[in-house]
Amino acid sequence: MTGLGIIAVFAVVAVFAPALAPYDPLIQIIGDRLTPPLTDGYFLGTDDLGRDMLSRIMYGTRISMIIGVVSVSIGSLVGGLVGMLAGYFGGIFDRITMRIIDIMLAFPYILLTIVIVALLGASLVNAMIAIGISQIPRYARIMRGSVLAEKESDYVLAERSLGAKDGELMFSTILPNTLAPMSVQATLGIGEAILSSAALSFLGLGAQPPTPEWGLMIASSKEFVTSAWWVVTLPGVATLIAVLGFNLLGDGLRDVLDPRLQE
Amino acid sequence: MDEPLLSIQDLKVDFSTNRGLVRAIRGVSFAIRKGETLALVGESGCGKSVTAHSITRLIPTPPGRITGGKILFEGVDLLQIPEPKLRDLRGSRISMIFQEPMTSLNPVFPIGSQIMDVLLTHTKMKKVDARAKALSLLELVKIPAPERRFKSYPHQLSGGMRQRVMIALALASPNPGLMIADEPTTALDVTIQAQILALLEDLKEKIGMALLLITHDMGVVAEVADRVAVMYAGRVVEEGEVFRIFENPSHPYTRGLLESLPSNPLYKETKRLKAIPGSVPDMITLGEGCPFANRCPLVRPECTLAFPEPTTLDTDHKVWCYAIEEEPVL
Amino acid sequence: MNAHESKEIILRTKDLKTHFTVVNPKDGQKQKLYAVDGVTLSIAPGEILGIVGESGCGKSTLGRTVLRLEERTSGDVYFREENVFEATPERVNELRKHVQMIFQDPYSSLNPRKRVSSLLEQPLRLHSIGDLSDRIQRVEALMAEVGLDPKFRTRFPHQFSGGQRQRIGIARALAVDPELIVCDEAVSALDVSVQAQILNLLADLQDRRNLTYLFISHDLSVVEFIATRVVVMYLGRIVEEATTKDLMAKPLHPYTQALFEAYPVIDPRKRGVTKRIVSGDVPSPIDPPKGCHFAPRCPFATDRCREAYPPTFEPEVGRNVACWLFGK
Repeated sequence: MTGLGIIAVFAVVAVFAPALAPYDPLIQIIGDRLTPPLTDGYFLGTDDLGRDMLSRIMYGTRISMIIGVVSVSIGSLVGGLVGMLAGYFGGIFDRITMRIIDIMLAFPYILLTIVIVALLGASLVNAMIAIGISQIPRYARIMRGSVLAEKESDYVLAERSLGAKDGELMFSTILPNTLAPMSVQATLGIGEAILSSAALSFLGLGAQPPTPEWGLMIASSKEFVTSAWWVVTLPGVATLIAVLGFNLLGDGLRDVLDPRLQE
Repeated sequence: MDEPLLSIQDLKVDFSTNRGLVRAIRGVSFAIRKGETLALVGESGCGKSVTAHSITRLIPTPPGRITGGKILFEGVDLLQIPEPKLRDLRGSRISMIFQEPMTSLNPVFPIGSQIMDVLLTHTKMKKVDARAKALSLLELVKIPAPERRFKSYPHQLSGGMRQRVMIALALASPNPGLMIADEPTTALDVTIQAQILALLEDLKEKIGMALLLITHDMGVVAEVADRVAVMYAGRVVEEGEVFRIFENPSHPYTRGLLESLPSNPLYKETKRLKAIPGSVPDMITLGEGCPFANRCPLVRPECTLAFPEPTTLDTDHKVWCYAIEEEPVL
Repeated sequence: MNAHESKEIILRTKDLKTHFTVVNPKDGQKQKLYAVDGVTLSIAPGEILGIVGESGCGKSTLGRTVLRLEERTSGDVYFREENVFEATPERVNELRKHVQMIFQDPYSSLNPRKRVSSLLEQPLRLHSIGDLSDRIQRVEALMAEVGLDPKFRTRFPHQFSGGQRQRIGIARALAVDPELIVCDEAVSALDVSVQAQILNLLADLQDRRNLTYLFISHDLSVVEFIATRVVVMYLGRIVEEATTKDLMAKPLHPYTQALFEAYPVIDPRKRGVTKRIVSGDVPSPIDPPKGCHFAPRCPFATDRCREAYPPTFEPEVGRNVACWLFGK
């Protein structure tokens, strides 16, 4: 529930950022640079180029939400499809795809994303794609596991005996019964995607200046950590709360969906 | 010596679920004498398993709660004694066997050592003696080649074998007074079931233990029970000697149950069974009064108001029903 | 099949075998599981053929193979003299309108994410029966026919009791107006009182719709009640076949006798009659014994029994036994 609340707040901010943000996140007022929070009408202060922190964080929420949703969409749609086909048809296709998945999983996650971004070129869009691709293995595995379990159920056999064909069995019969574990993982995945994007931006491989992306904001103000702590810490706190929110939501989802399944 | 070995008096058990409070057992009373076999029979959801688990307080206590009643075992109220004393009794004077032997046996230890464990815990035997006793128990339950099987793991044995091991474990107690068997043969094939039931009969005679047999199968009841208690929706509705219950079932539910059986001689020529209409009530919304009222062919106004007091039809035959004529107590 | 002279046959199998390859978890070796190992039977229209046996005898696999829900290893299945395993996929789909199945577990045989209306509409849609408004009416009619209130069609399976779910399963099987229904332990998972209701329903439906049943069960008393003819299976093969009356009056095969003896009699006065309880475990279909499969447990086994599997003899008209005791 807490998770839902946190995410709801973030979602609202993300959607209504232009209306809610007091200032334009990109306008630099050099005279006001490095203003501390709660001073001169800057609720969270300004950064080293005089940009309002609150507005930048609000616009950053947008970006983070989009990153999360897009990456996880790529990962879950592609991974889910692969997992479904592998689990349902089995055989050679299953073995080959699972080997590829295993190889992908053998790479440390961050390394994999870095390699993909390096190949595609450093930009926010490419970062999203890279993160999405790196998440494919986990969704493929989960979907495949669910499909293997459900495939042997009586209800699938029953629908097959009624004349249902493979396509219908996969997407209309089995798929709805796999959504529980997938949605839990997707929720957790959004949190991870936000964190990964922050990491990539921190390394200069994701969002590029002057985009108000949280990771980038931390990276560009490292040097002020002792002198103007708010420029570095506040974006970090925002990231923390967002990821926490998604994790709590994911855990909550797991609790809600599981006991009913055990009925 | 007419003091019953086990006497359950007005037992009440509740479960809190997220749909509401389930009053699973609403005042169940029956007794078992030394050396006798009482079958607690009923359909799913009637509470027979919960009753059995309550005896040794094996009900998981967050959702479940024993809210009333007494369970007297040799005079001692099991619901009141402290946990360590109960644990002593469990496995020594009272033992349980469950329906699914695979899940009740520890999969990572050989069966021989599991039996030895029970012996070493409850007696002051030396290891060497415990091993010998464990072997003799395996022989007692007629496990072929017990020396070899001693080192087997549960998954290496068939369902029937595992159930025998469960029985051996239950008998490992030094002085088993009461064995509680919860659907011990339901998961077994019929030829294996016959073997296990014969074994239980045999052991009963040899050791003189009492057996509380939980089952839904009237055939099993007819084969092995001395007395029967019929449960419906958390209540006992009829209790008596097995011959009387089968020959002269008095409660409409007992009658309905026996008439639902395809093997009943009523159906020699017809192809339609006398089925009890409707289905079991929801234990959350079920109110006071007799739970069978909405399906009963003999229902009358007082049935929905309060659950009836027992009518004694004979020295051992009790019925909880308003529609029964009182017969003079013999 | 020597027990049946020319009679109209709706379904028959000829030496049907369904073997599976399983991997032994202990050593990773592949092994063959002889689930159905040479079954020849036939069913006449309007009959109820009971298939009885313990776990591992192959009766469930037989039911599924007959519907082509399992691939055969060898042998044939004929529906009204049409070879089911040589039919094209389109033709198999057609045949599905004629033969349907009712499953054992009311809790797992209905898709938990579909409403009743969707579950019952599916077969109609798959076989293009009627248009949308027709189908809604048919769904309601089906529900009423099996004793369910049509207003519950928007509910999900978990909102029904076991008996009601089984009724939904039956309605689903009836949706395509089949001629033959395979009941795979259709009442075994139900309480006794509910079982009685469902057995009555199956009898009513048979009368009303002229159905033929292949009734698979491990419960002898149910089979005795409902079947007209019975086949006893042991380890993938038929050991005895007879009309219900004949079989119950005088079981011939030692396994059938053992099965009958093992069955608890629902009359406490009849206990104490010493039963001949067969020893040993129900064998595994992975490693069947050479010779007669029942020989290791049979009180009458001879060397010939252990050497060679007995052929099927016909000691009386209409009765088949696979046992050397009846050999000439």
